[in-house]
This record gives sequence, C-alpha cells and structure tokens, in this order.
Amino acid sequence: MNGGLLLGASVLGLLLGGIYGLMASGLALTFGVMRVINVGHSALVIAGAYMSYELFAHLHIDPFVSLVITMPVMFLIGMGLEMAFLQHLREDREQFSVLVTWAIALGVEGVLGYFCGTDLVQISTNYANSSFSIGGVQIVYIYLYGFLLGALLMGLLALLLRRTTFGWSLRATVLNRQAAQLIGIDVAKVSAIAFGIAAAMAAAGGALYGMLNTFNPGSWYDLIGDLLIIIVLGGFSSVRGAFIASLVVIMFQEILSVIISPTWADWSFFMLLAIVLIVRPSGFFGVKTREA
Amino acid sequence: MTAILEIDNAFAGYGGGNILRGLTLNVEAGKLTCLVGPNGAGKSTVLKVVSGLLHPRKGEVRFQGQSIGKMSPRAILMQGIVQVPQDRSLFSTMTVRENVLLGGFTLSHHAEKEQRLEEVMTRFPIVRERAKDTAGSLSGGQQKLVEFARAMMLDPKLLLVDEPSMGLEPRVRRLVFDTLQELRAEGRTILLVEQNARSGLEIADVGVVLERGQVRLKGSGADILADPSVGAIYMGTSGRLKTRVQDAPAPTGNDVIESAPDGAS
Ligand SMILES: Nc1ncnc2c1ncn2[C@@H]1O[C@H](COP(=O)(O)OP(=O)(O)OP(=O)(O)O)[C@@H](O)[C@H]1O
Ligand SMILES: [Mg+2]
Repeated sequence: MNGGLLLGASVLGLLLGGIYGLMASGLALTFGVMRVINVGHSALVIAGAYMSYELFAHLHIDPFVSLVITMPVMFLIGMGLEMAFLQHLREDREQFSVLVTWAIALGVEGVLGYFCGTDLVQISTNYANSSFSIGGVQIVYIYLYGFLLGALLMGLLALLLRRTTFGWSLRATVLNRQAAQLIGIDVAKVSAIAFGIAAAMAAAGGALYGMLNTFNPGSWYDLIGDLLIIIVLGGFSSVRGAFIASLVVIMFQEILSVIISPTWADWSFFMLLAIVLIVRPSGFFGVKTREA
Repeated sequence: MTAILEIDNAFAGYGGGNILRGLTLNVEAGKLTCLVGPNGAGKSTVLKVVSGLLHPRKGEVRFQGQSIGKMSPRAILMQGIVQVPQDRSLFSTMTVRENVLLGGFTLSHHAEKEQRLEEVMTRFPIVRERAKDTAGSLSGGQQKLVEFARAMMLDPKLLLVDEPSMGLEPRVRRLVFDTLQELRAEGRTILLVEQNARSGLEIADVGVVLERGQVRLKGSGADILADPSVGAIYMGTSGRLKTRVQDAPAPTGNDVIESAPDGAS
C-alpha cells in the first residue's frame, strides 16, 4: 500500500466531507426543529446547483460569488415551502412528513426539468481542475475552497445558534417543542426560518456539488441516501454531529476506495451505519434524553 | 367570589372526536383548584385549552373577562397564564440557569430578566445551587422544582400545573406538594391536575372531578376528598375507570383514594 495515496485519499475525504457537511447539517437542522425527515433536502441541493449553473452559464457569475444571490433566494423558497406544505401537518408529522417532502422533491425535480432540461450539466469554471501540491499530496483548489466555505458557514451557523435570541429559540425548540411553546417561543416561525436556513445551506452545498459532479434534475436520488446516513450517524438532530459525521464518513469512503476498491467504498456507508447502529444507536452525537 | 378563569361549555379534542364535551369550569382568584379524574378523562386537555396549546372547537375560555380561546400560547402567556406541563419539560442539555432565564423569554429587557432571576433564585435556592449544571443531570424532583422556578419568571397570575408528582418517590412528592402549598399561601391562583388525588385535594381549596370531558363533581377540597363516589372512581369499582398502575403509591392500608385496583397487591 502506497502511503502517499492513503494520505491523498484522507485529505480528499476530509475536504469533500466538509462539503457534504454543508448539505447534511441543513437536514439535521430541520429534523431537530420539526422532527421532519426532509427527504426532499437533496432536491433543494440540486435546485441550488442549477441556480449557480444558470448564473454561471448565462451571466458568467462565479459560483462562489453567486452564493450571495442563490442563498437568500433559496432561504425564501425554503421558508415558503415550509409554510405552504409542512406547517399544517401538526399531528403525526413524522409519518406524513416523508410523503410530503418526497412530493416536494418530485415537484422541484419537475420544475427543474421543465426549465433546465434533463441533460447532465456541470459548472465548469476555468479553475475547475487547477490544483497545487503540498507534501506530495495533490489538492484541487475547488475542494479546498469548498471545505473552507463549509467551515465558514458552519461557524456562522454555530454563532447564530449560540449567540442570538433566535438561536436560543431554535435550540429550545429542538430540545422540547412543547416546552418552547409554553415559554412563549413562536415555534411555527422558528420552523419556517430553520427550513429557510437549511435551504440556504443546501444552495451553498449545491454550488459545490455542481462544480464537482455532473448533474441533472434527478440527481437528488443519488444524494439523499448518503445525506440520510450521515445524519443518522451524526445523531439526527445535531448540526455539529452531522458535520463531523460527514468528515468521518467521506474520509472513510475515500480511504476504502484506494485500499480496497471504489465499489467497496459505496458499501462503506452502509457498513458504518450498521456498525454505529449496533454499537451506539443514538449516533456519534445523539443526545440520550429522548428515551423517556 | 371572582372567577379569574371561566371555561364555558367547551368542546375540544385531537383529530376526530371530542375529549372535552361541554366542559364548564370556573377558577377563583387566589385559590388552589385541584382537578382529579381517571386516566384519559381530559385533565391535561383542559390545561392545554387554557394555555393555548389546543384551541377549543366550541365554547368560551375567558381570563379576567377577556376571551382567550383563539389566542396563541405566546399571547396567553403574556396575559399571565403559565403552564408547567405533565412531561418533563426542562431543556435537558442547557444549564439550570439558562432554563430559568428562558422562562423570561418574553421579557424584553435584560435587566428585568436578571432581576426576576434573582427573586426566583431566592424563592428556589436550588436554582442558585445548581445554576451551572445541565438540567438533565438533576433528579426528577429537582427538575420539577426548577420547572416551577422557570414558571415563576413571569410572576404568573394563573399557574397551571399538570401532575407534578408523577414518577416521583414519596418523599420528593411531599416536597413538591409543600411547594405548591407555599405558592398558594403566597396568594397565587393555581389550577392543579393531580393523579394522586388525596395529596392534591388535601392542599386544594376547591376540588373538581372530571370524567369523560365533563365536570362531574365540584366542591371544597375536603368535601371532594370525603365523597364516596370519588373513592369509587379510584377504587375502580365502576369498571371503565382505572388509575395508572405505575403511579399508584405503595398501598398504605388506610389510603383508600390512592390505591390502584390492580396495583401491587
Ligand atoms: N396529542 C394527542 N393526540 C391525540 N389524542 C390525544 C392527544 N393527547 C391526548 N389524547 C387523548 O385524549 C384523551 C384525554 O387525554 P388527556 O391527556 O387530557 O387525559 P388526562 O386526563 O390528562 O389523562 P392522564 O391521567 O393519563 O394524564 C386520551 O384518550 C388521550 O389518548
Ligand atoms: Mg394528563
């Protein structure tokens, strides 16, 4: 086994993990706040990818720059979707939410297909393939930038959650929705905003996804399984857990793909999932307060 | 007698049917009213209708003469009604201090919050003692006291308390009832739901028996306690009515009201 290859895979895994973390953290956030498993989250990622793609293809706006447009737009779309489709599912949310969010995903896929077509596309910036070498490891700039963007946005989200009144209301809602209501928190508003934030994070994740992969409106199917497994490993409602689980899972996957084979790497998600569910059912960061 | 809270012919439920079926109930200012009744009678539902977690489908809920039936929980809170719910409701990974401060979430001024916190900590020393511990690390009884403390942040005009003794061992339970009694002595208006009917009615000015979403009996706490039909309810002699087994205390022989029909015997 080549040590350099292994190191390279680890670094790549770490960087890519940061990008996945961006997508998975939004999913964990909405689950925590609303107990809604948003299987349509990856469709929002793809929608974000298309927005960045169209802005790049037609207006030549760099995908990192266009985030100042796509993230706010997706924030509003996310809030709108939540208010239109999820807010009314008061009782038995968890069961119905999968159906409703699945329907939302199909809707998003349909709209994207109508406007953007179903051909595979990719956001190909002129720096797409540039890389630099450090200690024998070849690092593609986009991966590094993506990771840094992920880390930055996660840091901002953490600040928002820790330091603002909204952050307190959100965390209280995650811990105990009814108790939050009873101290005067408007949990409906918190839910809508949280969904908006998750959609904005998805937009950022989508821009990166669209630079690293070819995609079409149906690509959300490929993505959602991975994201769901990541949030299970991260303990479902923990944003930090989702981010760290992304790093671990993707690194594990990249390493497996060089030491065994890429086919095995695809299985690695499920292997990790099985191991964690057996050893520690609450995930890496699951809080064990919900058993009562 | 002035009724601070009036529930008038209220119907409410979840999904299909109604749980409250024409409930009429007044709560008088400055008194402790204890609501008892079998499992599933709708006791918690009454409190939810008052605190706005559930809106009545029909009928009126008035607080200090003002209709609150359609208000949001937040708006009702701002009217001065605070609920301590049946389940454990502290934010388990936050500290005790943070939890209590969150009780003043609707207060706009930081200084006001801090001042209330000081008052509450004087009233509930445990908040000061365990201020930095996470709420989840406290025992069940301690958590209940912190929940009371959190509810006191807004200096409520009406305190709704749902089965505070549930799941607590007898000694701790005593502490919880003592605390309620003290709050009552301070002149607070309290609507208490209690499965341990004896303990609840003993400290109550007014006792109310709820059955299938309607008030079946109302009187002084002592009268209700002495009413043979109340004993019947808790003895389970009328087949459909049963108390919850896990909440039934160990039989003490003379404790007629609290012994479960199919309990530990
Ligand atoms: N969120 C809910 N959704 C559907 N049904 C509910 C809900 N909450 C309560 N119920 C039902 O309403 C009925 C009355 O419930 P409620 O909680 O008011 O009873 P309770 O008198 O407080 O009983 P307990 O002593 O068990 O607390 C029960 O049959 C219960 O199953
Ligand atoms: Mg109840």
